[in-house]
Amino acid sequence: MGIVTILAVSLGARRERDPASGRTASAPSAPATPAAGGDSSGGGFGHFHQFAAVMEALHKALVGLHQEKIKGLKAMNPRFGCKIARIEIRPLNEAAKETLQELFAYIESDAIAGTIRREILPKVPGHCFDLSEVGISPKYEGGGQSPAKDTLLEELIGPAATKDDDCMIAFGWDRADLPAPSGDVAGIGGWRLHDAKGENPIPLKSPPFPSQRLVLGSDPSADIAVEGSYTSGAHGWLWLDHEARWWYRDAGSTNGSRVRRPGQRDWISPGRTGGSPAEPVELTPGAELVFAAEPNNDSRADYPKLIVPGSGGRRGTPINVGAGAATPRTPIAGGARPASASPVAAIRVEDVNGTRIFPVGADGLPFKVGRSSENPLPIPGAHASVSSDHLEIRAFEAGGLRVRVLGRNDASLAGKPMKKGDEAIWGWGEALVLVESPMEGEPVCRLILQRAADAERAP
Amino acid sequence: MPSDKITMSGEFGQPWPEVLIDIRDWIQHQAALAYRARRMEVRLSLSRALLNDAKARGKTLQPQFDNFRQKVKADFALNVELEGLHDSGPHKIEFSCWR
Repeated sequence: MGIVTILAVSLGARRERDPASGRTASAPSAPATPAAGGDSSGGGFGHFHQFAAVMEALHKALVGLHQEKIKGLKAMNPRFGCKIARIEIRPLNEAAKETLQELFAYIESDAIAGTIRREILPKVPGHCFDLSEVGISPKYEGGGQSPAKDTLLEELIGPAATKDDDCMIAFGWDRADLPAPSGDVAGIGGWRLHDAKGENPIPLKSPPFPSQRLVLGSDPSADIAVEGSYTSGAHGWLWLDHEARWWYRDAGSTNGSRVRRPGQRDWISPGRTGGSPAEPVELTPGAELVFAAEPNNDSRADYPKLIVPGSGGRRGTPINVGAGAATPRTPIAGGARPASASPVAAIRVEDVNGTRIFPVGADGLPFKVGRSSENPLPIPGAHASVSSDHLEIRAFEAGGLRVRVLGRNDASLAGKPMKKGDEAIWGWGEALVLVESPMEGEPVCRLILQRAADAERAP
Repeated sequence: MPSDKITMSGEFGQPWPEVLIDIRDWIQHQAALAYRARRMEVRLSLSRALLNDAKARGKTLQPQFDNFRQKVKADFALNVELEGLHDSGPHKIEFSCWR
């Protein structure tokens, strides 16, 4: 479900405390030191000294969100991901309001969001945030005159802010599970990185979200640590698009980058030295990426190199994305979608009435499974926790059937929980239990996917 | 183990504060189903629209919400964590247990 988490933090800018009242008041601006998250991409934020304070506040709030809400969920479920769609900053006093008004008057919210992704996110250790589609905005309540407070929240839980906090940062987020971890993390398990540490696989800690930017560089907080004498802290970004293609973009590094595709003699330099971020370059199979725009020497301790395996016969690297990623994929009849009405699969139904076989052909898809008698595969009413429409069998896929859970009491596939709305590939031979947690005494309804031929051979 | 976790979710659109009774009953039902769980957790996101509607009808949010949390804690040894507020729609609740 969409969740809003609100954290109180201090902007700490443009104010001083009145010793008599203890309240804060507006004060002349004082130049702030550049934030740890200050922009380094040449985007032009450095002149705006309040920006550092807001970035520090956002960093603190993201760390707080991770520590207080997300870390536990991630510990329980390594695949847990947190997709943040919206960040709202609500000032709690006039000074903070002025700071935010000034900031948003000078800088586009998209640029602020981009800086959070590039500069702040890598500094939140162990996070699993996806900010690829985040929007950021200030929220001034009361017609822009009175300080904005979340009165509803305060009424429910009391003032969340301490006396030093002067803004509330609200994160609108939802869970977005990461692809199932496997030996080949999102298809780059075979990639090799040659750097000062030698030749090693890509040291990626967790699978990326599609469109999530991974920072490559020598900074310890980089997603992919690259050690080289002339490698910048954040040298470049690597990301996977929704069509399973990998892209690289130089982040405006000091020494630039160059890429050579297989079968080509010439290098592409997506980032010349010291420039602003360059055009993205697709890393096709067989591509080489060197963390220096100009050939100087071949020392990989100085100029690390990343090599994508493959000869470049086809574009992109297939990845497993989504809930069914862990399912072994076995082609059905050569991988083609069955065209005839003859059944190619069978569902073995084990319910309160015993065992039965339900044939499935491509022409009969999609269909629903549940207690409704209108379903082609009705489930007996004794399974009270099964919804009228509990499961949708959607389509044949390599490896089995694509299914989607519709029932509010969830399901489990091969022992793994599936929530309402989840989709997965139901692999051959796997058991799908219609209710994840049936009521006490309620019989279990288990469905097992078989190939039609296997079902015919079964006793 | 990740696979030991079970999460149930519910949505409640009844008027405040009566809705708290329904939510408490729902939690009781889930807690009964998960009575052998080694850990349980309740996360609540309340609807700003429904709360504002309650206030427009002259209802107070406190002390009912505190009473509700204390009662759930006393009855089921469960902390109800208020995740925050969402703008519209019903109140949303997630009950998670680990076996």
